[in-house]
Amino acid sequence: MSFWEKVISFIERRISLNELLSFFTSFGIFYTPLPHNKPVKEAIKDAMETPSPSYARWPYLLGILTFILFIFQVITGFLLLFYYIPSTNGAYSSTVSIIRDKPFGFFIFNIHHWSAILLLVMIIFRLIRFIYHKVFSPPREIFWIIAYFLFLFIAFAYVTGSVLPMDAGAGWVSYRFFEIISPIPIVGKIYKILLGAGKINDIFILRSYVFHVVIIPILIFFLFYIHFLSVRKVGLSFGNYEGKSVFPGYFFEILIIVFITFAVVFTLANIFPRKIFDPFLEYKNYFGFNVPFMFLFFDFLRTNLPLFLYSIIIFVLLLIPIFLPWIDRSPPIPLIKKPVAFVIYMVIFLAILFTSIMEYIK
Amino acid sequence: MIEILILFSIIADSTGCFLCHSEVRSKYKLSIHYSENVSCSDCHGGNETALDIKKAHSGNFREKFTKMGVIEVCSKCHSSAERMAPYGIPFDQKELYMMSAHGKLLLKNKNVPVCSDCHDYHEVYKSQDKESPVNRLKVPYLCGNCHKVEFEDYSQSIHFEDVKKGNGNSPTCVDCHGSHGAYPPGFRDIDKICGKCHIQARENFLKSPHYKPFIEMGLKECEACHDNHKVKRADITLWDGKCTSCHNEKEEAFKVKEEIKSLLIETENSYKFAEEWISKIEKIPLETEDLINRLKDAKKGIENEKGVLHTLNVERIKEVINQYKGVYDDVAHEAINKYKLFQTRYLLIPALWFLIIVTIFLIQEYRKRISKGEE
Repeated sequence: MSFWEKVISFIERRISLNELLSFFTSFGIFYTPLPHNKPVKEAIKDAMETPSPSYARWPYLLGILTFILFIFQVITGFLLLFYYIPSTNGAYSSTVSIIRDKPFGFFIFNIHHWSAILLLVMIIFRLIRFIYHKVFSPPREIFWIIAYFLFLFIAFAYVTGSVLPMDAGAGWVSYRFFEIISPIPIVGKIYKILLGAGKINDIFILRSYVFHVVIIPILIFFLFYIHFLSVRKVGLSFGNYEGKSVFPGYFFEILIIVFITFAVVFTLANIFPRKIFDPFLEYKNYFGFNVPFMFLFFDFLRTNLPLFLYSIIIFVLLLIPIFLPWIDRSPPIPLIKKPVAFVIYMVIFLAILFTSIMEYIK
Repeated sequence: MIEILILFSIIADSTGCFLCHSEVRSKYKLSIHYSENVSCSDCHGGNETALDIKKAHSGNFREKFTKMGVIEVCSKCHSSAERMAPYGIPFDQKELYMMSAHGKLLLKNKNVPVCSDCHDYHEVYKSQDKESPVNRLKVPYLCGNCHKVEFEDYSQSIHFEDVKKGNGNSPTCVDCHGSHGAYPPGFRDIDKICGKCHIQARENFLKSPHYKPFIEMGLKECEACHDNHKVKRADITLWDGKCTSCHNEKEEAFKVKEEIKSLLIETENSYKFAEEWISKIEKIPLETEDLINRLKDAKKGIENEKGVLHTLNVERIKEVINQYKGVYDDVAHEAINKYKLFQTRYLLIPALWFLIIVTIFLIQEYRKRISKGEE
């Protein structure tokens, strides 16, 4: 017995390694849970050889990309934590010092920035594709609900994150986001309790920071875990059972996707780095900044409707998607083959797109 | 009853005067004299502990003072070395005043300011106090009360600009004319007065080809080019306006002027160029602190040594200016290099893609080999 085998067998006699591995492999590495009655080495071998559908195929790619980008966020965010100071005095200077002075700080910061944008784009595409293929038909309602909450959490993480550098753009985002969210019933109240009444001070920055680096990531991880558990139970949306084994089947496919995703994010981060504006000063007006793109639609409604109507409409619009699996009773076939549903969804989609573009141009 | 009130008043204020003269009380309490225990009777005479109005106003009591009287009363203490030495206050103010232009006019019975006109009488502050009318930063306004034309000129000057910013080192009226011994400077004294601060400029001016002709032509040294009260920042525009009033274009002196002027413009342009590049790379953001400090130091150095321009010696001026212009150019060059180095990050993109494509190729090869092995 080699040294490592001795170590593993020593641990295995004391800890249920299979269970531990099974938890980690929930996140899309093996398709099946590991059997508990076998030694860990054999169990892994079995799991790897079990034929399983490949994640690394269109349209499941959107899901796996969301997860990969989220992992990028966790890694780069973890590195940024070492130097970032969450206070009105330290936020801007520490951000600048990360980008300017720290080794690879420029790349880490901008990869974090671009992964966030791509993560949001992916999750939005994923929601669209869920509607298109009606993935939320039973027994996969949970897929949709989780994807929707992922979108909300990631959007919130995007806002709290873009506040943290505390430059002029960041301060502006926080004010405008407050304007958008505060009139909404319940949600606005919760936001005010958690993040304060729209004033930028130490507590606001500290809380944005806590939400951004602790609470939201934990929630997102939890949602991912539930999603993968559900996938284990009910299977992928359309059975693409090629009968490939995990290793060397789709393990390498996922590896290649990770590499390519990294290269894309790196390229974007390098060519279009996030602009760092002057430090944020209260009582100074800033012009020429746009709301984060997912809130352009909100902003359009807020500026064009009475506040009361706006708050009701947004509240309902936020609530409807949760119950969509029970509202939409159409058969589980691609949207294009269902004329009525197609028209309804297209009208909503185009309305959001059109108003967003209108707001952006304005 | 009244007696008791007076007693209380005497105990509280150590004088009974304020029982009737309550309007003076609040003002006098702010004064430095009050806190140094100078009593009413020290100036006005009389008996301040007397319980009777007549008795209080008896003896050597004086209600109002003539201009000369004010000087006499103030100098009772302020000319005494014994009383003033502990405070470190000069005790020759009376003598200085009597020798000054103000003092001489006073002897001719002219209406001129005496002590109380500048320092106030009951409400006398320390001159360092911000409330004091003779505080350094308030002096121009004080003198300007009478010397209106001069104040108007001075208010357009670079000196007054600095005073308004709260710079106590910037010269006010008293720095050139004196305070108690105020006197208008004589015809040949202007270079000495300006030279108190602009030492290098004066030294260089005395050596310059201008000095002798100025005396012969009756021109007022510094004032001839820079003006007196409304002295402006000496920038490049000065070389256009003033020189042509004496020199014409065909003269050798005019060529010298053109040479110096173009050197100054070049230096200014290099400074602007360096500044532009620094602000450009600062926005990225890249480290610029060192560059900014060097640029500032060089700018300060050039400001300090600008006096060399008065020599009108082109070689000497070039020697001094070029060492700072060199710093400007170096800073700009380094900023550009930093920017170029930052741009090389684009090379990482093809490198990374190449690496990843090679890796993917290797992975595919490896997969093929494994699946062949399985077969």
